[in-house]
Amino acid sequence: MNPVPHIRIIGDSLTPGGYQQYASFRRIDNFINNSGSIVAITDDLSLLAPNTIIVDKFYPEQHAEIIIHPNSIILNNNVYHIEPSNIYDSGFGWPNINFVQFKNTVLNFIQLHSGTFPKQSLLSLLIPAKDIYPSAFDKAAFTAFEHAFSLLHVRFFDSISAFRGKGRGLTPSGDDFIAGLLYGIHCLESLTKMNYRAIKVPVYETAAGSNLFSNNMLQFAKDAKYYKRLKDFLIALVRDKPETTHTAFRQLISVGDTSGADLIAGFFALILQKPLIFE
Amino acid sequence: MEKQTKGVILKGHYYDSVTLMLATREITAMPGIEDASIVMATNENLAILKNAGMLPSSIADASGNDLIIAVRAEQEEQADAAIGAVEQVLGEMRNKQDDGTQFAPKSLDAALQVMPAASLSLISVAGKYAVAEARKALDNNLHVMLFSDNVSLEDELMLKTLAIEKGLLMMGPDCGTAIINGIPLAFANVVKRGSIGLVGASGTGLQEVTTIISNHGGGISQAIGTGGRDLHEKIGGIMFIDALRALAADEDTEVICLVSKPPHPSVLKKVSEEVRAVSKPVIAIFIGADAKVIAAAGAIPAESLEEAALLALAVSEDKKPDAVGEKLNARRMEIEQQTASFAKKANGKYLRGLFSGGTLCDEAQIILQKHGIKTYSNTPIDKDFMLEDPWKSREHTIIDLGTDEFTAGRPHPMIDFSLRNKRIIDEAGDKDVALILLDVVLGYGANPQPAEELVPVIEAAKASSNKLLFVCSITGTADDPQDAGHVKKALENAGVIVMPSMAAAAELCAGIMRLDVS
Repeated sequence: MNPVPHIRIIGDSLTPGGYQQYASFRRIDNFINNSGSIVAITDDLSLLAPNTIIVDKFYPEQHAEIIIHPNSIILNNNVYHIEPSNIYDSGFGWPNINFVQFKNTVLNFIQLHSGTFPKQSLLSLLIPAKDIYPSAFDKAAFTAFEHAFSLLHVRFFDSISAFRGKGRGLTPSGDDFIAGLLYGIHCLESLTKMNYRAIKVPVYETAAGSNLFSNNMLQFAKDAKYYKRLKDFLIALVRDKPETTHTAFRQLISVGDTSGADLIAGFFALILQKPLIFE
Repeated sequence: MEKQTKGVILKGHYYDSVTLMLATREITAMPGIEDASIVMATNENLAILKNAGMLPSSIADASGNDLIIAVRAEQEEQADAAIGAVEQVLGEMRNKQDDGTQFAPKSLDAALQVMPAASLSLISVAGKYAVAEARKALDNNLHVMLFSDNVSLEDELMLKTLAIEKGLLMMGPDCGTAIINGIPLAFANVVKRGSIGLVGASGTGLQEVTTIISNHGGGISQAIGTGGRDLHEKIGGIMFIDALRALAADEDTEVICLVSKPPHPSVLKKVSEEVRAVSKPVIAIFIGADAKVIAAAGAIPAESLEEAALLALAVSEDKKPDAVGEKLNARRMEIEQQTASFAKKANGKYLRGLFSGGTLCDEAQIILQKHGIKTYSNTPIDKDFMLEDPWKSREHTIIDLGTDEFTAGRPHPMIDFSLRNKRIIDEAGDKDVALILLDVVLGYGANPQPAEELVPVIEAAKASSNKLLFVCSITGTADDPQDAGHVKKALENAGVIVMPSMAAAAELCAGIMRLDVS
């Protein structure tokens, strides 16, 4: 029998209630409640997210269910009290910087790092690569992504619809990209002192579908709740320190096959294109 | 014959994207499979599959939480076999860690429970965790090979001091190559066992020397890596010296060979004093350093990695070291004679070197410089020749693709050729480029199919450029998983000039460029 784990840190967006085992991976178990919210357990600190419970030792499928109370968590009948000091703050307060200046920072970053962008990720929309798609599906998907991308500036919501649900991955690449767009909108509204809730909510509603992993990710993006790797990268980018930015980017794009890269592609696209709807 | 597209839906199956990608690759490699896709069955993905002609007609009732497997094959049975294999492949990938034969402990403690008699720990974790893990291993009386980098000099010194107090080896941080008791660790080649022991503060340097020794019939007793900074002033060469002492005391080692970039002068002095105390013959290659100090201590200095290997071999066979110099001089004359005929096949002004091995990159620069050819680089020998933008070559350029700016988000270029392949095509597009110099490093950990990946790219580059020459050396042996003989033949068939060492390859390039082939 596996030892009882010790909880190290939890995300700040665990909705109270009972959760049942949903999908198990090598490094992470996912649980779901009746309304489709997902809570994940892992011992990998780098996977820290608004809905993650980080334990000291992870064994796949060790827990059949999780019960979350406002001040405690129950795992296999073991009660863990939630200490405020053990809660990951997924919020990110964008500093008071000039939007144009930040856009230039993003541009410089892309120019400097484009050679390191993962093949077949949607970062290729920003710096096109030649014939890197091995299968008919990948080729057709990328053609669809190029079309979706071409709509982004002028026909923003058509672009969202065209990205939605497409591509490889547990969260399809197109959904990762849209989540990145939503984080980009948060950045834009913070730096330009605007409120774009009237855009973010319909983006979420357009993008959300039957894939629960995507839905949870999109909701966090809409609510400006950041995954730790994304937050680490954006903090480094804002500070414009090449060495830490470089390391944080490497960690971000190591998520999934292209998932982290697709997410940041959406963020970059929003900042660089600033679609007309935001004018 | 009409192609068969078949598929199935797996209800409620969830796999991370890396697993799906790897499974797709495995299935695509099966006999008769033309194309395969394993993706979440969102409506949008189903539409894409349809557009791509990959949506099987039998698919119905799928949701975004399901997985779709679509396969196109020459024959129906082949498609069925591939589909049948998918679940097994995915299951194997998921269960790998639960399979007793492939148990992957998640901590050093768990690993020691499984293998309590272990005496060495190979650590490759993110730099910030590396020190704690290495410390834990030393505390458990394990020798350590620390592959990780991003460890501070202070921590490196602390770990090495502790190791020496406990009589243990602390190889690294940033140690990429070692062969201990015949076992290759990390990036290392399959070499013969023998009486030559090596200490190296350079991964590809050790690989080049050990493979040349082995290819010429010699053998290796031990090859101890120390990490590239051991000969830094602050570290003081403590592990280099400790390893030298270990080889001096090792009964199986008759000849010692030291391999490194230039040590700090104070460290070189310490190493020299240590060499003086060793009764066994010592050969030393400190690439680019003044050989006088080490020679004064009684070591036989070498000017290239190849010369170091041949000298160590000659001494181990009781032959005169002078014979090596004569042999290499004869080879130089041979190269000079061949140069003109090779030069006729080139057209352009500049050389571009694209390297996966840092030490090989340095060696090539030094040899070219000796022949009066200055090269720009991201790791220049002469700081005035630092490339402003490593992504853009200028004039003669030699690039080390193993540095941080190139390895972010991707494996080391000895494993993943994609970046170099792209750069080859880019360089071929520059009409002023006459010659491209490459290193091809084989062995455990390196790209398993270097010829299969490089040849199409070289052929495409040659097709797009009028009179472009390719020169390379292969660091490897016929016993390596990639088989150096096979790689050489494939590259030569593609028109690449394959030289027996990087030193020889750089000398040939220098000769061609000096003839002004523009």
